[in-house]
Amino acid sequence: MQRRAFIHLSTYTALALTLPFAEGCSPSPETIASRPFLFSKLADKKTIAEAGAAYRKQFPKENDKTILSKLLIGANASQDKSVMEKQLNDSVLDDFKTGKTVAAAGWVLSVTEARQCALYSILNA
Amino acid sequence: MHIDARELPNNSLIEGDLCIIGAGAAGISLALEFMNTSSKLILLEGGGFEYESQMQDLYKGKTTGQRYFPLESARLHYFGGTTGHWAGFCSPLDPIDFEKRDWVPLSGWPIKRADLDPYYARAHKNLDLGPYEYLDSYWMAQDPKIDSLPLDHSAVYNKMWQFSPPTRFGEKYKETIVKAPNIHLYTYANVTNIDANEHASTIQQVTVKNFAGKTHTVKAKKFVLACCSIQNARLLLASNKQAKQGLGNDNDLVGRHFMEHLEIKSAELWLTKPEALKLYAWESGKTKARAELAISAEKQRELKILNGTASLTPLEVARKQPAFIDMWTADTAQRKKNMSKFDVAEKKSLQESGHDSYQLFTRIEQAPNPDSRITLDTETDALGMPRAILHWVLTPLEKRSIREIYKLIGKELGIIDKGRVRLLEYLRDENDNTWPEFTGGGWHHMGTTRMSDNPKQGVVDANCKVHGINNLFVAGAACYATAGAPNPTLTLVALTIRLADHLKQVNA
Repeated sequence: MQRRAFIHLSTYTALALTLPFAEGCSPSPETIASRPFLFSKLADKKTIAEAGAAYRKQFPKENDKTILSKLLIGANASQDKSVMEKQLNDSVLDDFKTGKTVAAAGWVLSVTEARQCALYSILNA
Repeated sequence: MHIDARELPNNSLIEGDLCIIGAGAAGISLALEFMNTSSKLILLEGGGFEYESQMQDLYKGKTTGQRYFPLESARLHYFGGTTGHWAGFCSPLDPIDFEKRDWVPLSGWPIKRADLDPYYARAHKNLDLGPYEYLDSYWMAQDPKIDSLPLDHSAVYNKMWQFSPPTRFGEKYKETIVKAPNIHLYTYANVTNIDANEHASTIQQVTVKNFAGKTHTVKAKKFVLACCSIQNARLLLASNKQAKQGLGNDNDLVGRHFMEHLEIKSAELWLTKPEALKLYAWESGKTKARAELAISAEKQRELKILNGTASLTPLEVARKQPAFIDMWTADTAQRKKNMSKFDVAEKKSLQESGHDSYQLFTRIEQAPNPDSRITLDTETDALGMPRAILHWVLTPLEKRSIREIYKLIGKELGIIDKGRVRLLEYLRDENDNTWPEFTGGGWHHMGTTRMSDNPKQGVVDANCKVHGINNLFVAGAACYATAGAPNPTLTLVALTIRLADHLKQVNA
């Protein structure tokens, strides 16, 4: 695993512009939702995709871009990017606090970030 | 005083009040407690004062079931016993280890942790440990540079280990024992048989042999077996003149419930930034105390898991280290070479700047299991004793427990937002109960004469006396009813000192 090869997301555009996955224009809500913030500091793209694929295999009912997007974004799709990221990150922390965790490809992840990985793996298949 | 049993006239009769069979950590600790008392104490050691291949060969035996170390390499057969090569890791068992746990078959001791606390404090002196203090806050206060993971201690806490120098009992206590007027140490006195009375209710004498072709007889009022879990069981089973199934074995329990600490790499800890995490670091000969990540009693109950801990080794170092089970060969020279490489790697890992990834290595008890056992082979050793066969067996509970431990650590690490945990491949499929090739033990042999108030569930009672035999006792880890997570030496010395107090009380 290439550590941190996937660092690409931040609520701060300045930082994002220096990173390999920075977009030239505003990313779509789906793209934002497919970026697990803390996990992407640790794992490369391949690893994230593997975790996502493992999650989809484990939960086949969620093996769908629309379903995952809905689960992750819900009613927040039109919100500001940074607000959306913060909500997703808060959701990750809440998951850990409430025991909503799952092991995907061995990674002990919050359900939210596992879904983010799953969405990433679909979007980048 | 010291007597070399090879120099005695053949068929000598040795007599005393208390006969201790085996001069390792338990046997020597027991002898020290009786030093300068009115008791004439006979301390029998099979070997001499140094390592000898011929003596080690007496410990050879087959292993079946789970892959294991060569038996002759796992215990040392000379004065001081296995303290001649131990690493000095010490920590007390937890209160929950003594409790009956409905998810752990045959769990529960007839004594509590509080019963052992005063003896743990005394055992610290034998092992040259620091204060009997195992709170992480105490040790962190000693050094402001020590950092740790700020986990919720009601779920995952820092269980402390202290490190003996490590005390080599053979070196440290030889002169004391030899000079003690009431202690009669016999070297090259291998006990090959225990004789009881007709009803096998009282031990009358033991037979000792050596490679000089001498056979002697030892008579005493009381006998204590202290020659490690495998050899204790072997000797009881082989002593079958008065009891066909072996002494103390009316309920077919002697040799059963052999326990090891399962020691195995299990997961990886990935941090968002490098951290030294000095509280968890260990350097041989230097570190006085360190922590391992442990699971609270409440969480063990909730998850219905065994008690285990996780140590941290920088991943870049750990990935280069072969498994202990592969390094620890029967070839002594190769074994030393392998282990010295391991020590060098460990030292390199102690960087002030820290590391951003660590291997999580498990040490966990195994559930008492009657099928995990010592039996006798038809093959005999050079002194005519049947060799031991170890059949080491693990159960799905051990594997599930390890998996749950790391899922919990992963969850708690997520809460503090510092990183993530990744389970190793062999733990990922919840339906897979097999074990990988690198699965190993900690060279910790426990439980072959387990303690229970019920003779149908244990070989010895709460005072370490063999059920049904009024003057035979067992000292050491063979008496453990369950194994806990910590290395066994501290507890076995504490339990031995407790036995000494009991024997003195009975004598009085």
